[in-house]
Amino acid sequence: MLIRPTQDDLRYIAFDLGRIIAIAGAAGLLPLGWAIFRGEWGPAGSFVLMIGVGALAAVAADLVRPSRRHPVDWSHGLVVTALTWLLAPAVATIPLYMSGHFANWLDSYFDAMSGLTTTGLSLLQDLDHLSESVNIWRHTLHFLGGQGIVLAVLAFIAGSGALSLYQGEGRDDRIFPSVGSTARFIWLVSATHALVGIGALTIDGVFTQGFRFSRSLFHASTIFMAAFDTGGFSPQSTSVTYYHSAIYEVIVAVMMVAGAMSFGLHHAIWNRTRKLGRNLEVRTIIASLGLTTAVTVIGLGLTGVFTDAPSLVRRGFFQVLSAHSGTGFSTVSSAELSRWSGLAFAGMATAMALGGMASSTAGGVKAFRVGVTLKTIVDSIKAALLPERAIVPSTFTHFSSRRMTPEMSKSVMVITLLYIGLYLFGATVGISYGQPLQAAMFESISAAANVGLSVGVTSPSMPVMLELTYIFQMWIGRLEFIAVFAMIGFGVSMVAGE
Amino acid sequence: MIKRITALAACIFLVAPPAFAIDKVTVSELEALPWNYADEEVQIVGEVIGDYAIQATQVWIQVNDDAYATSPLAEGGLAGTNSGIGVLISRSHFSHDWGPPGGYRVRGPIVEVTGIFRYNDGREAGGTYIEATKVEVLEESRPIAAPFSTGPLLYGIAILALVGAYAALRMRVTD
Repeated sequence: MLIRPTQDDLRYIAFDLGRIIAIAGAAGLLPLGWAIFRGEWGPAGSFVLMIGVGALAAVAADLVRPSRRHPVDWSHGLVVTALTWLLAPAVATIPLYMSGHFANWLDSYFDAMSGLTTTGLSLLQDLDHLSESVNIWRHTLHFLGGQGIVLAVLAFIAGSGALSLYQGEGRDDRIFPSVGSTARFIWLVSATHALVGIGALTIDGVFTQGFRFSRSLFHASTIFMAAFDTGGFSPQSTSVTYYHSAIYEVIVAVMMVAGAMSFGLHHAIWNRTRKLGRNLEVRTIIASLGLTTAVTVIGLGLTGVFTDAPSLVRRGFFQVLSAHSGTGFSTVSSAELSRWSGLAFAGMATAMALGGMASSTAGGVKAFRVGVTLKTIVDSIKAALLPERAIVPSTFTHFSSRRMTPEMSKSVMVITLLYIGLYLFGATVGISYGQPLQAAMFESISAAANVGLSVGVTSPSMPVMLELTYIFQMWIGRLEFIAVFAMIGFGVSMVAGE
Repeated sequence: MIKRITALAACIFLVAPPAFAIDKVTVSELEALPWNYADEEVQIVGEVIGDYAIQATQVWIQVNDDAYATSPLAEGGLAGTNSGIGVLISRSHFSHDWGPPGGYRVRGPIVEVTGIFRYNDGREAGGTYIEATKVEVLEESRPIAAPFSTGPLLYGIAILALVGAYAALRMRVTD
């Protein structure tokens, strides 16, 4: 029997939701500062309006404040998370829409969702004349979304029930016993990488490429946020192709790898934990990256797209790494990418679908699930080959030795199957709008796995239903299904509950 | 007979373009059929946008030949996404007199670039670009008017003032 939520339940949800939206709106202070610094008064006005709307959400939260603080239970936390990821883009879209670079509100909402989910697909028009402050805002959305909007709040206001909010965003491992400490560690790692990444990119921009310092800093800041948070937005329309520097690409690649790593692995590396080579997830991602790179490079070699080995490796590896980490940067044009067929397409599509590590900023199925799925298959084969009474010990290393339980295998495989279903769903919608199978599949995986590479299907002229499909895929793919299912269940119980 | 053949050959020569004619192309055409133009001399006309990446002996620029090059967004409205290509020019071809490159509130200089189209070129580790042999500035850069609407700013300030008043009231009640 479904139990209808009480008015108190709704109050708890609205209260948390309002506070989180207010903090998301307050993030507009960063681009507002930049707009004032650069004298971009039009965008500055739109940021003030957005911060105001966020502040209104805080007032609304205060007005519905429960009289007695009730611990957030599991389902409340998941519903808050799912709704946050729907409403935060609606607030974040204010400066985007008011920039005049979008044909309609839905297009700007698409970009806000793409930014927050760290996808990187974009319907923005004339990017090359966009104001710097709005560009900074687009990339701040990556940073906010990559770290997790809810996580941002948890770092400050973590309390009881925080775990459900934390896991609702698709994060599995707690590095410290307290979720608040874990959130603060994640922010510390991010800040350290920001300092190193922005510094290195700025230096390369000034001394290797010959940019002016202020412009180099601008490029470095935006590219860092998009790389470390595996987002994929770029300040110029030609993505990383704009920077004709191998060193720049290497720094970006390092940041993409750092972004695709789980924060648990960051913690292990910071603490110089040994035997990381035994970690199932590390082994899986190294194997899958090696395999997809090999397949793509061989595919490119066979088609003769690149005629020499350095070109093959540099372009091929960067694209695969971008796909596998879920970043979506490219050093070839969309038109060129759409010509990568056969093995090259297979390598790229597989890399995108698999994604980065669990509890990282990357999307996709995730290396941990791939590793567990493969181990389950191998164990099943072993069990079938051995005598009936033989017991196959099933353990693996993931920071510590863990036993594979049937429940773990089941939950991992369910999520994996849901991702495959989501990829196929988006591809089917794309095909129904006349897109070729390969392009429809590529774009669908790119949206659902929050990658952002495009072969040209995503454009301002795309059908509204296809646009809505990709928005849905980006949202549910980022939250890894569970929070969305909880929200739907909550909605059903509001209508049909007793 | 020989006269007729000579006359025919003369006609063909006059009507048909000479074999060494430069291809005037768009970036979209280069992207669609790059192998047709690889290592051939091409000519594009477009707006320099972004930055001048000034290095020791060369300068990298990006040239966009989309609709915004002729009609900026603020003047002609939305016209799709950008379309541009990297252009490598020698320092001697570059001058700061071109004005600032295109960006927010700036329509960059309009240039006519003549050069060799490099497709997935090994010298740039697989890069696709135009190696310019000649750059002619057709129009220097100019500012684009960015109309400033006070509405959002005033609404935002009004909302924040209201929220501030609410917070002050709330604190007084709590005290």
